[in-house]
Amino acid sequence: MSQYINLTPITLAGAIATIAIYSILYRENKVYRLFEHFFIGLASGYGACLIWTDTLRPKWWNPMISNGEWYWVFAFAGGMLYYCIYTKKYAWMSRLIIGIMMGLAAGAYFRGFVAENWGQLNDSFRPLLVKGSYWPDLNNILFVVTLVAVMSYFFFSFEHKTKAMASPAKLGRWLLMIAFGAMFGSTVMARMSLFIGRLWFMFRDFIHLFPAK
Amino acid sequence: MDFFNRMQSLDRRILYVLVVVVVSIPFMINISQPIYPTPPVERAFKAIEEVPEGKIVILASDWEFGSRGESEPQAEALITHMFRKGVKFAIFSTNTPLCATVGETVARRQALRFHKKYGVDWVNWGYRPASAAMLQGLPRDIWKIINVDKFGTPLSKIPLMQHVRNVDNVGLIVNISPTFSATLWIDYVQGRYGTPIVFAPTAVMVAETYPWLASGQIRGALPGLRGAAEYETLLGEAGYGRRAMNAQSWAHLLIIALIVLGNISYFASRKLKGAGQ
Repeated sequence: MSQYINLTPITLAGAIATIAIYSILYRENKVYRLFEHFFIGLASGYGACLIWTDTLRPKWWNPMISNGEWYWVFAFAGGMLYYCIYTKKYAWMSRLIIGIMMGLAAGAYFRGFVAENWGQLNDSFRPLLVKGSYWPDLNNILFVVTLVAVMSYFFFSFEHKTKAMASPAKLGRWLLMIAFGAMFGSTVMARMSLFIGRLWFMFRDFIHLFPAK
Repeated sequence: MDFFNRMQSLDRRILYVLVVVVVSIPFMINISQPIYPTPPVERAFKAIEEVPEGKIVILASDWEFGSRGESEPQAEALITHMFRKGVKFAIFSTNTPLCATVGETVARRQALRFHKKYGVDWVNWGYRPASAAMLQGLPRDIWKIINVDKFGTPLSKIPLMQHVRNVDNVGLIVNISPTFSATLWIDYVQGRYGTPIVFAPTAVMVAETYPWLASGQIRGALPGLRGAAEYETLLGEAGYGRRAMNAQSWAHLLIIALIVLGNISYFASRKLKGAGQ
């Protein structure tokens, strides 16, 4: 039997979990709910353990206790302030740490903003003619038309009453829908890829239905 | 009319069985389809080929088992290329602690195949939190920010890291991620220091990747499973990516056929209903 089915505990557990989770496609059932809770519990527990072993212990506990870096205790105090949000009397203390972290994040974001968007802004200025000739560059023309149309759709400072405003905005809406359709198609492709990965596990690693190569 | 109505109210479980059958056929019968590398993948391949001698690659492995179907073949193809070319790399995660471990399992598998040694040919820096703050310091002083590898070994004791101190010693950043974490690297490393980036997103993020490719902020990309299959073609390998892409193509054909059938049924039943009235 083992030449046809892999009965090692880990593979067997994976196969049973896969079938249990996919059973939702047939109908709502208790087996699916049970394994859904198993998965959430396992993921949370494993994640919490990893946070201690891979981050807190080497980067905070060991330096604080063994390397004499006593000032890391302030990081603990700051972190504990978050939990004050659960008490009515001391909830104001949580706002201190939230404000500090939001300020840090905003500052970091400002720094990255130019680096991120400068390249995009630069690239939006494209030549409409092919370099060295008078032929129109269709790719760039399509790009510029799309950019202007989509931006005019999001221009809310005044109403799109005149045809000069309404027509590009309408074109922009259609172009946005085409883009969202492409994104949705990519999403379908991604989900199918993940499903194929699961089938590969079931039909090759669990039931040896076909060879690896 | 009854046929068209039945098509529109088809039990979705029949469609699920159809998908399973259609996707399984290419696994049973090895139907080989030609896969042609596209420019983003070719540029990613070239970026690794052109990593300067003496510099390392930061393999920002930000994927977990939830996106294994796409991210694992991408990681497999990229690590195979780096080992084959002799490019040294450091696995690093800014997403979750599990991501660095998952990337390491792929690296260990390929390291056995190419007889590569940990600490000499590759290293795992592990996971570091607070990515925005951390990535601002990393380019200036890698030793200070990373300090120890995933196993607690000080970087000073790792042969690979002896000459890797800052971003000047990094030739390329390769980010494999189911989210758009490449923007962090663009914000704080590529935008400031000019270090090139190759991005391997899942298919969900592919549409968002193209503006960054067009502007040159991302040098090359491996879009989803298709990108992994194209990369394997460039490597001359017949790996999981190419095999799974066969199944993917059949699944897409089925979806297109069902969409066309659904639309024909809809318009036909509307027309017949109108004629009936």
